[in-house]
Amino acid sequence: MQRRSKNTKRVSKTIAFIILLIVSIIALIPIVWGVFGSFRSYEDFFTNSSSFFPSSWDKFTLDGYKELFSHTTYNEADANVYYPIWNWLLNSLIVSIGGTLLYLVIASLAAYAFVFLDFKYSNVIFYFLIGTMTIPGVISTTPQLINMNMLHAYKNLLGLIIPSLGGVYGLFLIRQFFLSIPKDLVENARMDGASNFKIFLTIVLPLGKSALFVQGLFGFMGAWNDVQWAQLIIGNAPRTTWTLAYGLKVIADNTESIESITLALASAVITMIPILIVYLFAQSKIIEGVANTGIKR
Amino acid sequence: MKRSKILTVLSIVSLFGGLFSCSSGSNTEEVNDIVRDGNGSIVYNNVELKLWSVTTGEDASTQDAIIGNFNSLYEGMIHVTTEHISRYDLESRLTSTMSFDKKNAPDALFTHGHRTNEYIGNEWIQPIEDYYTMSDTPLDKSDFAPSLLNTVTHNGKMYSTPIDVHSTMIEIRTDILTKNGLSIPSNYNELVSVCTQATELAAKGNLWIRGENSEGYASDEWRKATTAEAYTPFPISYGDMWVHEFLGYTAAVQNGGKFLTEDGKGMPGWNSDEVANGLQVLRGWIFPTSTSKNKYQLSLDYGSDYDVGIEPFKSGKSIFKLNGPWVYKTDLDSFSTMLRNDGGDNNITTRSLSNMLTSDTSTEYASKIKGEGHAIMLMSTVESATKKCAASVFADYMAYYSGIEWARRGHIPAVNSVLNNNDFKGDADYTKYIQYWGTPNDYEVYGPTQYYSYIDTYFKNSLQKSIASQFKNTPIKEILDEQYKGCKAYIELYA
Amino acid sequence: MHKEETKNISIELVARREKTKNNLRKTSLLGMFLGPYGICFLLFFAFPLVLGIIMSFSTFDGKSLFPSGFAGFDNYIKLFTNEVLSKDFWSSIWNTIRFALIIVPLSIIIPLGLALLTSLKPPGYKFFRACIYLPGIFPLTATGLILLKMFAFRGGFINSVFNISIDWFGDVGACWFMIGLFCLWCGIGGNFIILCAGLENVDKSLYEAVNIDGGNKIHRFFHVTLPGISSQLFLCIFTTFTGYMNLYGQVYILGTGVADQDEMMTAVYRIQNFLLGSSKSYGYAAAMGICLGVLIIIIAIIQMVVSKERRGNGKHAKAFEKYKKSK
Repeated sequence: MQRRSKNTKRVSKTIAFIILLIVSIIALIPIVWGVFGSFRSYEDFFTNSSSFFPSSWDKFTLDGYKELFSHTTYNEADANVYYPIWNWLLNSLIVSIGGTLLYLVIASLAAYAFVFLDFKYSNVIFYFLIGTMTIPGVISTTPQLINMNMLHAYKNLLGLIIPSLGGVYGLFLIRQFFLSIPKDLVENARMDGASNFKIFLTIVLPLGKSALFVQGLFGFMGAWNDVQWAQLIIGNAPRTTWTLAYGLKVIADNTESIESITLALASAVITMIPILIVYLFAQSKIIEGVANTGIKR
Repeated sequence: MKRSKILTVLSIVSLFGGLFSCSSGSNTEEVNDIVRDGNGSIVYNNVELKLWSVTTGEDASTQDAIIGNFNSLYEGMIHVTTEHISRYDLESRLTSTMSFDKKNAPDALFTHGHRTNEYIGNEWIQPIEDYYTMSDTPLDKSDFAPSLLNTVTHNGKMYSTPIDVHSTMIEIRTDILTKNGLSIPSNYNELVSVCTQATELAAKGNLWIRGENSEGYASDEWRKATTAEAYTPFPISYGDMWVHEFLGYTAAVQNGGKFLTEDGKGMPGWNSDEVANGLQVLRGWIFPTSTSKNKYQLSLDYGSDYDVGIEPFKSGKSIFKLNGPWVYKTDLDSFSTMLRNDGGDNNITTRSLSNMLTSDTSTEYASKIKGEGHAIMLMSTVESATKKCAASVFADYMAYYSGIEWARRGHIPAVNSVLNNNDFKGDADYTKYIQYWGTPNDYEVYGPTQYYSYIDTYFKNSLQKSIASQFKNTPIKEILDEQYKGCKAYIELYA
Repeated sequence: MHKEETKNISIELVARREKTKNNLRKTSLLGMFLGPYGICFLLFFAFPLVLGIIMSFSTFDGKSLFPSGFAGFDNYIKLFTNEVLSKDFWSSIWNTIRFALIIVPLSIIIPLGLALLTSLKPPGYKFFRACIYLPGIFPLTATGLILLKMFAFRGGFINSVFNISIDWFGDVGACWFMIGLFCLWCGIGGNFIILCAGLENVDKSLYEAVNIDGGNKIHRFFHVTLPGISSQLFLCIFTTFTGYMNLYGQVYILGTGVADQDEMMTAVYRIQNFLLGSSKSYGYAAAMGICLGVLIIIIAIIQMVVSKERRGNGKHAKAFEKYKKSK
């Protein structure tokens, strides 16, 4: 009996392994193709279109990257190809990290209130908040722009950070995770005379860490990858205030010919690298976080 | 709780107040700050002009050099600073800037002239003609190509200064033509006949070609075109920018079609049989039928692909391709390298689209080419009269002194007198290729209309559908009528 | 008599003060926890939304972003009566719903299946988990660009390798297929990670209980696993559904090559097009947005009612008890 279950376990693990392997490979193929593509010349794409890698070592080229990094200093005669990539990187980091951290603080506080503070209409308010998620964001694009202008956040990085602070999704996500924290833990602490703030810091936050990591990752990515809103807010600002995603979009627009496929792919890869690093870091943290919640019901 | 409620209500109310206070006060008053010297000419004392230009890439660099010349000529008097904004972003940036960031609005715009009437409707620009007079800058309107002048005119006044006109053009592999005993076509009938001969030669395994390839030949080594697939000498596709920006329109014009109605109301006028005939030429190009002039496909069906001409042209799999004249210089360079041992860039030449899309070349419109022209506009936010005069001086300079540099990038000067100038005509590049792109009078641009965006979008839809395989059995007039209905309905909705 | 009254009043006062004090404490507590978010929500979410609603009742003159007049319900009425406006809008709504009906179930079932496989912890599962989520972390513009180049019609990698000739981004059907693929490739990661985390938190002792009782896997899945991750599932279904009802970016990136653009228009894509041109169309765009929102709310409520009925009040727990007893 024991042995049979062990065997079935091994079989199911093997099947799981194979399926996951296939899915992972499929998921990675385009990315890998794109990364190698950024080292390939346009001619090689066309003459050897069925080869996955550059067709030979001579066909390897760094032109795309050289082009990207050759315009990082301001030169009045060449102002239209001034691409201060390092500034963009810094701005992207400020916007993504700053916005995400601020949001995590206010959203987890609010989620605590919804889950552990008994107050009138808490459910009604919460469902109302969820209800607002169904309203298409496209309605408020123009009004939000007007709003940012009134708050003097137009044309600066603040305008990229603060609109995300009103988001409902993260609150929703964190609340769903807080819900699975046993209420007794909180009640017991309250009996012992702990203040809500202390409970929040010492019990709820450590147990809900994984939710914060998940939301932190989502928030960071959302801010990092945003182009549409960035164009409205900082498109009119000096180039040193741009973010990486927006700046690279402008580069792509300036080089729309199919012959610049190498440059286009190179700029795509450059946007991908920082977020990849964050992801690799956050991914392990999420696993750790999930494993450490140690919830026993 | 109550207090916070009151606070939120208050803050919302005050925000609304701010909102509506922002929306008022749009018209700017002119400030007459003109100072004249002893001779009566205006004194420009370090006037700063902020220009937004729609040019990008190498066009932008060339333009910066031209403006640099202007700045050094007017050193201490007028200085122009340029910001280049791609045509995808320009409209939205203008909208937001003119809505609530007017203090950072540009003073002048360098953009497409056919936008003039839309911008007048938006109250974004003011007539530049008035300041030619005030600054005693001579203005000879008859020097400008009529079509270019017409599109920037409103109520008889020239609102913006036409600078140039440009379109797509044809690049030709003369080496392949010569080697196979074929000649450069000068009209549609000749083009079809050259293509037919090339296709038939290739089918028999007798067509000589050369260029970059993966079959092991050197790029300047002659080889026979494959018989495995039909030879298609002139690739086009509906996804290609050259096709939907210029080729479709040119086909329409050369067959007698019009973009707008002729009553001057600026309504769409392209739902005609003439336009349908023009588009039929392009459909037959890819999907030949018994009624089309060409027996064989001139182009494969490339569907939504774009820049489809580049690769076949380089490899010798085609003889012709469409291209923007502003990149012709780049192509000359790449052929200099590729065929450096055998004639270099003399292996290619260029022709305009004149007469290339109609079988009846006897009409006056057969030689017309659909173009787009750049123009310089004066923003309505400029208050200082001195600045406005400076803008007209700058516009005049750009129209008359952009010169051969700008023309090398495919921008034919809008004024005829520049073309007739000996410095211009005597330039080696003029004889080499610029001359083949014609004069500004050959070009037909959109007439004045407030509804340009709608009319243009719906025509492009019709064109794309007309030459897409999905609709190849739908009569073109039917496609045009359907799109026309939608276009007109929207214009009326917003009227 | 006066004294009596004063006394009464003073008692009342004390009680009230006590109550107020309590209330005050509670209010300030709430204010501390809920306040920062509340203010941000009002300022950066509610306020623009209200403005948007106002816009849907306004006319615009095309000169600025600000309303030029009051239109009443005119914009809404035109959405139903104006021939071209109603045709364009409702056909784009239909495109959206049609696509959502296919993609939403797939975006739940596939990540759920993968999360279940991952929870078996086969060798290297952490690596696989990272790989599956990976495409979703990148900007859509970057991943979309790669797909565009890889699936190009003539001379694209996929068509060359498999020696086929499909215009992936030109043919209507093929293009919707590619958009679906794009949505799954880059979109399932979020649900996948949430469900993985949810599965980790399912009480292991319940599994053991079923095992001891000899329940088979299907029972285990429906009676323990699903109820255990119900809150995460609810989150996923709800956000995926609202997300795809707002589908825009993926279509915008991959779909512009199709000759018949009407076939590619989703509701938000249509609205975005209205917002791109002159501001004269802003009123209609806002009204369209509100209509779409109302539609999503209606569908979401139906969905919630249905799922609530299914989940019941601890219905599953009861069912499990019953099931256990029957053994």
